[in-house]
Amino acid sequence: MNFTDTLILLVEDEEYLAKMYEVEFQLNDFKVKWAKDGEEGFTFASVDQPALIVSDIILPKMDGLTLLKKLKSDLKTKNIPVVILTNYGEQKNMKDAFSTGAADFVVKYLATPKEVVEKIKVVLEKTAKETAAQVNAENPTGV
Amino acid sequence: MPTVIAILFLFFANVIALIAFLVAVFKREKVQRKFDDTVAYLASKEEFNALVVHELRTPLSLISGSTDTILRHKDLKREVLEDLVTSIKTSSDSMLELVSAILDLAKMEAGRFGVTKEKSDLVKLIDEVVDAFVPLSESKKLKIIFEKKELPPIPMDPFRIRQVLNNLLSNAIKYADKGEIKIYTHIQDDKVTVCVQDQGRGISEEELPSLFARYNRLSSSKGSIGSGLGLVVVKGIVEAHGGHIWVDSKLGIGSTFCFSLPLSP
Repeated sequence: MNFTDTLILLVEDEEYLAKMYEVEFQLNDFKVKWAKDGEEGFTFASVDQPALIVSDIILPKMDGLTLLKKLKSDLKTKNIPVVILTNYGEQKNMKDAFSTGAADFVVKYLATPKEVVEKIKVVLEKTAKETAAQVNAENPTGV
Repeated sequence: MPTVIAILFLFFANVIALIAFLVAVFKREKVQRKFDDTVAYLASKEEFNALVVHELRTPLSLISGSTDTILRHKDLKREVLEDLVTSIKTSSDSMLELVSAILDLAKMEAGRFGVTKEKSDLVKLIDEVVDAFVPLSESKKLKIIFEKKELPPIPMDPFRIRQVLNNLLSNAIKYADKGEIKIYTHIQDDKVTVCVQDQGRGISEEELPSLFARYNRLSSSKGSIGSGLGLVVVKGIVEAHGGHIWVDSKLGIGSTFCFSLPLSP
Protein backbone atom coordinates (compact mmCIF):
# COMPACT_ATOMS: atom_id res chain seq x y z
CA MET A 1 0.00 0.00 0.00
CA ASN A 2 1.32 3.44 -0.90
CA PHE A 3 1.21 5.97 1.94
CA THR A 4 2.81 8.90 0.14
CA ASP A 5 1.33 12.20 1.34
CA THR A 6 -1.11 10.45 3.67
CA LEU A 7 -1.90 12.99 6.38
CA ILE A 8 -1.20 12.02 10.00
CA LEU A 9 -2.32 14.27 12.83
CA LEU A 10 0.07 14.09 15.77
CA VAL A 11 -1.32 15.32 19.10
CA GLU A 12 1.64 15.68 21.47
CA ASP A 13 2.49 18.48 23.91
CA GLU A 14 6.16 17.61 24.32
CA GLU A 15 7.79 19.53 21.48
CA TYR A 16 10.93 17.42 21.14
CA LEU A 17 8.96 14.17 21.13
CA ALA A 18 6.63 15.61 18.49
CA LYS A 19 9.64 16.58 16.39
CA MET A 20 11.13 13.09 16.73
CA TYR A 21 7.94 11.35 15.53
CA GLU A 22 7.38 13.98 12.84
CA VAL A 23 10.86 13.28 11.40
CA GLU A 24 10.24 9.52 11.31
CA PHE A 25 6.76 9.93 9.79
CA GLN A 26 8.11 12.25 7.10
CA LEU A 27 10.99 9.88 6.34
CA ASN A 28 8.25 7.35 5.60
CA ASP A 29 6.58 9.78 3.17
CA PHE A 30 3.68 10.72 5.45
CA LYS A 31 2.51 14.31 5.71
CA VAL A 32 2.33 15.43 9.33
CA LYS A 33 0.27 18.03 11.13
CA TRP A 34 1.12 18.73 14.78
CA ALA A 35 -1.34 19.74 17.51
CA LYS A 36 0.04 20.81 20.90
CA ASP A 37 -3.05 20.05 22.98
CA GLY A 38 -6.31 18.13 22.93
CA GLU A 39 -8.49 21.06 21.87
CA GLU A 40 -6.19 21.90 18.96
CA GLY A 41 -6.17 18.20 18.09
CA PHE A 42 -9.95 18.12 17.81
CA THR A 43 -10.07 21.32 15.71
CA PHE A 44 -7.38 20.08 13.31
CA ALA A 45 -9.05 16.68 13.04
CA SER A 46 -12.38 18.27 12.07
CA VAL A 47 -10.88 20.72 9.58
CA ASP A 48 -8.04 18.71 8.02
CA GLN A 49 -9.64 15.25 8.05
CA PRO A 50 -6.38 13.32 8.52
CA ALA A 51 -6.14 9.65 7.53
CA LEU A 52 -5.06 8.79 11.07
CA ILE A 53 -4.54 10.49 14.44
CA VAL A 54 -1.72 9.67 16.84
CA SER A 55 -2.45 11.07 20.29
CA ASP A 56 -0.75 11.22 23.67
CA ILE A 57 -2.91 10.75 26.79
CA ILE A 58 -1.68 13.48 29.14
CA LEU A 59 -2.28 16.69 27.22
CA PRO A 60 -3.06 20.29 28.13
CA LYS A 61 -6.60 21.62 27.76
CA MET A 62 -8.13 18.23 26.87
CA ASP A 63 -6.56 14.84 27.66
CA GLY A 64 -6.10 12.19 24.99
CA LEU A 65 -8.86 9.86 26.21
CA THR A 66 -11.40 12.72 26.29
CA LEU A 67 -10.23 13.74 22.84
CA LEU A 68 -10.72 10.17 21.65
CA LYS A 69 -14.25 10.12 23.07
CA LYS A 70 -15.06 13.44 21.42
CA LEU A 71 -13.64 12.31 18.07
CA LYS A 72 -15.64 9.08 18.16
CA SER A 73 -18.89 10.86 18.96
CA ASP A 74 -18.56 13.44 16.20
CA LEU A 75 -19.91 12.59 12.74
CA LYS A 76 -17.05 14.35 10.98
CA THR A 77 -14.28 12.53 12.85
CA LYS A 78 -15.72 9.23 14.09
CA ASN A 79 -14.25 7.20 11.23
CA ILE A 80 -10.70 8.50 11.61
CA PRO A 81 -8.60 5.78 13.29
CA VAL A 82 -6.83 6.91 16.45
CA VAL A 83 -3.62 5.40 17.79
CA ILE A 84 -2.89 6.23 21.41
CA LEU A 85 0.83 6.84 22.04
CA THR A 86 1.74 7.24 25.69
CA ASN A 87 4.23 6.50 28.43
CA TYR A 88 1.32 5.74 30.77
CA GLY A 89 0.96 2.14 29.63
CA GLU A 90 -1.18 0.99 32.56
CA GLN A 91 -3.84 -1.66 31.86
CA LYS A 92 -6.62 0.76 32.82
CA ASN A 93 -5.54 3.32 30.22
CA MET A 94 -5.25 0.60 27.59
CA LYS A 95 -8.67 -0.78 28.46
CA ASP A 96 -10.26 2.68 28.45
CA ALA A 97 -8.63 3.53 25.12
CA PHE A 98 -9.80 0.37 23.36
CA SER A 99 -13.30 0.54 24.82
CA THR A 100 -13.58 4.14 23.58
CA GLY A 101 -12.58 3.10 20.08
CA ALA A 102 -8.79 3.41 19.79
CA ALA A 103 -7.36 1.50 16.83
CA ASP A 104 -4.13 0.73 18.69
CA PHE A 105 -2.31 1.54 21.92
CA VAL A 106 1.45 2.03 21.87
CA VAL A 107 3.73 2.61 24.84
CA LYS A 108 6.35 5.18 23.85
CA TYR A 109 9.32 3.78 25.72
CA LEU A 110 8.64 0.27 24.42
CA ALA A 111 8.50 1.19 20.73
CA THR A 112 10.99 3.01 18.51
CA PRO A 113 9.59 5.67 16.15
CA LYS A 114 10.08 3.17 13.33
CA GLU A 115 7.91 0.62 15.16
CA VAL A 116 5.27 3.30 15.68
CA VAL A 117 5.28 3.88 11.92
CA GLU A 118 4.85 0.14 11.33
CA LYS A 119 1.83 0.09 13.65
CA ILE A 120 0.37 3.13 11.87
CA LYS A 121 0.74 1.37 8.53
CA VAL A 122 -1.04 -1.73 9.84
CA VAL A 123 -3.94 0.38 11.13
CA LEU A 124 -4.18 2.31 7.84
CA GLU A 125 -4.21 -0.92 5.82
CA LYS A 126 -6.87 -2.42 8.05
CA THR A 127 -8.99 0.75 7.82
CA ALA A 128 -8.63 0.80 4.02
CA LYS A 129 -9.76 -2.85 3.81
CA GLU A 130 -12.73 -2.22 6.09
CA THR A 131 -13.76 0.86 4.09
CA ALA A 132 -13.50 -1.12 0.82
CA ALA A 133 -15.58 -3.97 2.29
CA GLN A 134 -18.19 -1.50 3.47
CA VAL A 135 -18.38 0.12 0.02
CA ASN A 136 -18.73 -3.35 -1.57
CA ALA A 137 -21.47 -4.31 0.87
CA GLU A 138 -23.38 -1.11 0.14
CA ASN A 139 -22.88 -1.46 -3.60
CA PRO A 140 -22.17 -5.15 -4.46
CA THR A 141 -22.58 -4.69 -8.22
CA GLY A 142 -20.01 -1.90 -8.28
CA VAL A 143 -22.36 0.26 -10.38
CA MET B 1 -15.92 -1.73 108.87
CA PRO B 2 -15.09 -4.65 106.58
CA THR B 3 -18.03 -3.53 104.41
CA VAL B 4 -16.57 -0.03 104.08
CA ILE B 5 -13.18 -1.51 103.17
CA ALA B 6 -14.85 -3.76 100.62
CA ILE B 7 -16.71 -0.80 99.06
CA LEU B 8 -13.53 1.31 98.97
CA PHE B 9 -11.65 -1.61 97.47
CA LEU B 10 -14.29 -2.07 94.78
CA PHE B 11 -14.34 1.69 94.09
CA PHE B 12 -10.55 1.88 93.64
CA ALA B 13 -10.52 -1.33 91.59
CA ASN B 14 -13.08 0.20 89.24
CA VAL B 15 -11.12 3.46 88.99
CA ILE B 16 -7.95 1.54 88.18
CA ALA B 17 -9.81 -0.59 85.61
CA LEU B 18 -11.23 2.57 84.04
CA ILE B 19 -7.79 4.19 83.89
CA ALA B 20 -6.32 1.00 82.41
CA PHE B 21 -9.11 0.91 79.84
CA LEU B 22 -8.56 4.57 78.87
CA VAL B 23 -4.79 4.05 78.60
CA ALA B 24 -5.37 1.02 76.37
CA VAL B 25 -7.76 2.99 74.13
CA PHE B 26 -5.33 5.91 73.92
CA LYS B 27 -2.41 3.58 73.12
CA ARG B 28 -4.45 1.82 70.46
CA GLU B 29 -5.41 5.13 68.90
CA LYS B 30 -1.78 6.22 68.93
CA VAL B 31 -0.65 2.96 67.33
CA GLN B 32 -3.48 3.22 64.77
CA ARG B 33 -2.52 6.82 63.98
CA LYS B 34 1.12 5.82 63.57
CA PHE B 35 0.07 2.95 61.34
CA ASP B 36 -2.17 5.25 59.23
CA ASP B 37 0.67 7.78 58.89
CA THR B 38 3.06 5.04 57.79
CA VAL B 39 0.57 3.70 55.24
CA ALA B 40 -0.04 7.21 53.90
CA TYR B 41 3.71 7.88 53.75
CA LEU B 42 4.39 4.63 51.90
CA ALA B 43 1.51 5.24 49.51
CA SER B 44 2.72 8.75 48.73
CA LYS B 45 6.27 7.48 48.36
CA GLU B 46 5.11 4.75 45.99
CA GLU B 47 3.15 7.31 43.99
CA PHE B 48 6.21 9.55 43.98
CA ASN B 49 8.41 6.72 42.70
CA ALA B 50 5.91 5.96 39.94
CA LEU B 51 5.88 9.60 38.89
CA VAL B 52 9.67 9.81 38.91
CA VAL B 53 9.88 6.69 36.76
CA HIS B 54 7.45 8.26 34.32
CA GLU B 55 9.37 11.53 34.27
CA LEU B 56 12.50 9.57 33.42
CA ARG B 57 10.77 7.56 30.72
CA THR B 58 9.90 10.63 28.64
CA PRO B 59 13.50 11.80 28.11
CA LEU B 60 14.65 8.19 27.79
CA SER B 61 12.09 7.57 25.03
CA LEU B 62 13.41 10.66 23.30
CA ILE B 63 17.06 9.68 23.58
CA SER B 64 16.39 6.13 22.46
CA GLY B 65 14.01 7.09 19.64
CA SER B 66 16.13 9.92 18.23
CA THR B 67 19.29 7.80 18.34
CA ASP B 68 17.47 5.01 16.53
CA THR B 69 16.33 7.39 13.78
CA ILE B 70 19.82 8.85 13.38
CA LEU B 71 21.42 5.40 13.18
CA ARG B 72 18.97 4.11 10.58
CA HIS B 73 19.03 7.15 8.29
CA LYS B 74 22.57 8.03 7.30
CA ASP B 75 21.47 10.72 4.85
CA LEU B 76 19.47 12.95 7.20
CA LYS B 77 19.40 16.65 6.35
CA ARG B 78 21.67 18.73 8.57
CA GLU B 79 18.80 20.69 10.18
CA VAL B 80 16.87 17.48 10.96
CA LEU B 81 20.01 15.96 12.46
CA GLU B 82 20.54 19.10 14.55
CA ASP B 83 16.95 18.94 15.82
CA LEU B 84 17.34 15.31 16.87
CA VAL B 85 20.73 15.85 18.52
CA THR B 86 19.34 18.93 20.33
CA SER B 87 16.47 16.82 21.65
CA ILE B 88 18.96 14.21 22.90
CA LYS B 89 20.98 16.92 24.67
CA THR B 90 17.87 18.52 26.19
CA SER B 91 16.61 15.14 27.39
CA SER B 92 19.96 14.28 28.98
CA ASP B 93 20.01 17.67 30.75
CA SER B 94 16.45 17.10 32.01
CA MET B 95 17.42 13.72 33.38
CA LEU B 96 20.49 15.15 35.11
CA GLU B 97 18.32 17.89 36.61
CA LEU B 98 15.78 15.37 37.80
CA VAL B 99 18.38 13.04 39.30
CA SER B 100 20.05 15.97 41.12
CA ALA B 101 16.66 17.08 42.47
CA ILE B 102 15.93 13.55 43.73
CA LEU B 103 19.32 13.39 45.48
CA ASP B 104 18.80 16.82 47.06
CA LEU B 105 15.35 15.78 48.24
CA ALA B 106 16.69 12.58 49.75
CA LYS B 107 19.31 14.61 51.67
CA MET B 108 16.61 17.05 52.83
CA GLU B 109 14.43 14.19 54.04
CA ALA B 110 17.33 12.65 55.94
CA GLY B 111 18.19 16.05 57.47
CA ARG B 112 21.60 16.00 55.80
CA PHE B 113 21.09 18.95 53.45
CA GLY B 114 23.26 21.93 54.24
CA VAL B 115 24.32 25.20 52.59
CA THR B 116 27.68 26.93 52.75
CA LYS B 117 27.01 30.60 53.31
CA GLU B 118 29.46 33.32 52.27
CA LYS B 119 28.79 37.04 51.85
CA SER B 120 27.92 37.33 48.14
CA ASP B 121 26.74 39.85 45.58
CA LEU B 122 23.09 38.92 44.97
CA VAL B 123 22.56 41.61 42.32
CA LYS B 124 25.47 40.26 40.26
CA LEU B 125 24.14 36.72 40.65
CA ILE B 126 20.64 37.72 39.45
CA ASP B 127 22.24 39.59 36.53
CA GLU B 128 24.16 36.46 35.49
CA VAL B 129 21.08 34.24 35.73
CA VAL B 130 18.97 36.73 33.73
CA ASP B 131 21.66 36.92 31.02
CA ALA B 132 21.70 33.13 30.73
CA PHE B 133 17.92 33.08 30.20
CA VAL B 134 17.78 35.85 27.55
CA PRO B 135 18.02 33.51 24.52
CA LEU B 136 15.25 31.25 25.87
CA SER B 137 12.96 34.17 26.76
CA GLU B 138 13.58 35.82 23.38
CA SER B 139 12.67 32.59 21.60
CA LYS B 140 9.24 32.92 23.30
CA LYS B 141 9.12 36.69 22.72
CA LEU B 142 9.16 37.34 26.47
CA LYS B 143 11.03 40.23 28.02
CA ILE B 144 12.91 39.81 31.30
CA ILE B 145 13.20 43.02 33.30
CA PHE B 146 15.46 43.11 36.34
CA GLU B 147 14.63 46.17 38.45
CA LYS B 148 18.06 46.59 39.99
CA LYS B 149 18.52 48.02 43.47
CA GLU B 150 21.73 48.18 45.42
CA LEU B 151 22.00 45.46 48.04
CA PRO B 152 24.55 44.79 50.78
CA PRO B 153 26.52 41.53 50.57
CA ILE B 154 24.10 38.72 51.40
CA PRO B 155 25.16 35.67 53.44
CA MET B 156 24.18 32.87 51.08
CA ASP B 157 25.33 29.81 49.20
CA PRO B 158 25.73 31.30 45.69
CA PHE B 159 25.56 27.90 43.98
CA ARG B 160 22.27 27.03 45.70
CA ILE B 161 20.69 30.48 45.31
CA ARG B 162 21.57 30.34 41.60
CA GLN B 163 19.66 27.03 41.53
CA VAL B 164 16.65 28.77 43.13
CA LEU B 165 16.75 31.66 40.64
CA ASN B 166 17.24 29.26 37.71
CA ASN B 167 14.18 27.29 38.75
CA LEU B 168 11.91 30.29 39.30
CA LEU B 169 12.97 31.98 36.08
CA SER B 170 12.74 28.85 33.94
CA ASN B 171 9.24 28.16 35.33
CA ALA B 172 8.20 31.75 34.61
CA ILE B 173 9.37 31.37 30.99
CA LYS B 174 7.87 27.90 30.62
CA TYR B 175 4.39 28.91 31.76
CA ALA B 176 4.19 32.32 30.08
CA ASP B 177 3.35 32.90 26.45
CA LYS B 178 3.25 36.66 26.55
CA GLY B 179 4.33 39.78 28.39
CA GLU B 180 7.13 40.54 30.76
CA ILE B 181 8.92 38.70 33.51
CA LYS B 182 9.91 41.11 36.24
CA ILE B 183 12.54 40.46 38.90
CA TYR B 184 12.75 42.85 41.82
CA THR B 185 14.31 42.94 45.26
CA HIS B 186 13.63 44.83 48.44
CA ILE B 187 14.97 44.97 51.95
CA GLN B 188 12.70 45.04 54.94
CA ASP B 189 13.75 44.69 58.56
CA ASP B 190 16.48 42.08 58.58
CA LYS B 191 15.62 40.32 55.31
CA VAL B 192 16.12 40.72 51.60
CA THR B 193 13.27 39.58 49.38
CA VAL B 194 13.60 38.54 45.74
CA CYS B 195 10.48 38.22 43.56
CA VAL B 196 9.97 36.78 40.09
CA GLN B 197 6.71 37.98 38.56
CA ASP B 198 5.26 36.63 35.34
CA GLN B 199 2.15 37.23 33.26
CA GLY B 200 1.74 33.55 32.51
CA ARG B 201 -1.17 31.18 32.91
CA GLY B 202 -1.19 31.41 36.74
CA ILE B 203 -1.98 28.69 39.25
CA SER B 204 -5.45 27.71 40.41
CA GLU B 205 -6.48 28.20 44.05
CA GLU B 206 -6.77 24.42 44.51
CA GLU B 207 -3.20 23.84 43.34
CA LEU B 208 -1.58 26.61 45.39
CA PRO B 209 -1.48 24.91 48.82
CA SER B 210 0.28 21.83 47.47
CA LEU B 211 2.71 23.65 45.22
CA PHE B 212 5.71 23.27 47.52
CA ALA B 213 4.59 19.96 49.02
CA ARG B 214 6.63 16.80 48.75
CA TYR B 215 5.42 14.04 46.42
CA ASN B 216 3.23 16.41 44.53
CA ARG B 217 2.81 18.21 41.26
CA LEU B 218 5.18 16.09 39.25
CA SER B 219 2.50 14.80 36.93
CA SER B 220 0.56 18.00 36.45
CA SER B 221 3.64 19.64 35.02
CA LYS B 222 4.07 17.10 32.30
CA GLY B 223 6.29 18.25 29.51
CA SER B 224 8.37 20.33 31.84
CA ILE B 225 10.38 17.60 33.42
CA GLY B 226 11.21 17.98 37.08
CA SER B 227 9.65 21.42 37.48
CA GLY B 228 7.26 20.27 40.21
CA LEU B 229 10.05 18.56 42.08
CA GLY B 230 12.24 21.61 41.50
CA LEU B 231 9.96 23.79 43.61
CA VAL B 232 10.18 21.37 46.52
CA VAL B 233 13.98 21.50 46.33
CA VAL B 234 13.88 25.30 46.00
CA LYS B 235 11.84 25.53 49.19
CA GLY B 236 14.35 23.27 50.96
CA ILE B 237 17.27 25.45 49.81
CA VAL B 238 15.61 28.70 50.92
CA GLU B 239 14.67 27.22 54.29
CA ALA B 240 18.22 25.88 54.77
CA HIS B 241 19.28 29.55 54.54
CA GLY B 242 16.77 30.44 57.25
CA GLY B 243 14.49 32.09 54.69
CA HIS B 244 10.95 31.65 53.37
CA ILE B 245 9.35 31.17 49.97
CA TRP B 246 5.79 31.96 48.93
CA VAL B 247 3.67 32.56 45.86
CA ASP B 248 0.81 34.85 44.87
CA SER B 249 -1.04 33.75 41.78
CA LYS B 250 -4.23 34.26 39.85
CA LEU B 251 -5.35 31.96 37.08
CA GLY B 252 -5.03 33.69 33.71
CA ILE B 253 -3.23 36.70 35.20
CA GLY B 254 0.14 35.36 36.34
CA SER B 255 2.23 34.36 39.33
CA THR B 256 4.71 36.06 41.63
CA PHE B 257 7.17 33.79 43.42
CA CYS B 258 9.11 35.47 46.23
CA PHE B 259 11.77 34.26 48.61
CA SER B 260 13.42 36.00 51.51
CA LEU B 261 16.89 35.51 52.98
CA PRO B 262 18.15 36.81 56.32
CA LEU B 263 20.69 39.65 56.12
CA SER B 264 22.64 38.36 59.10
CA PRO B 265 24.53 35.04 58.86
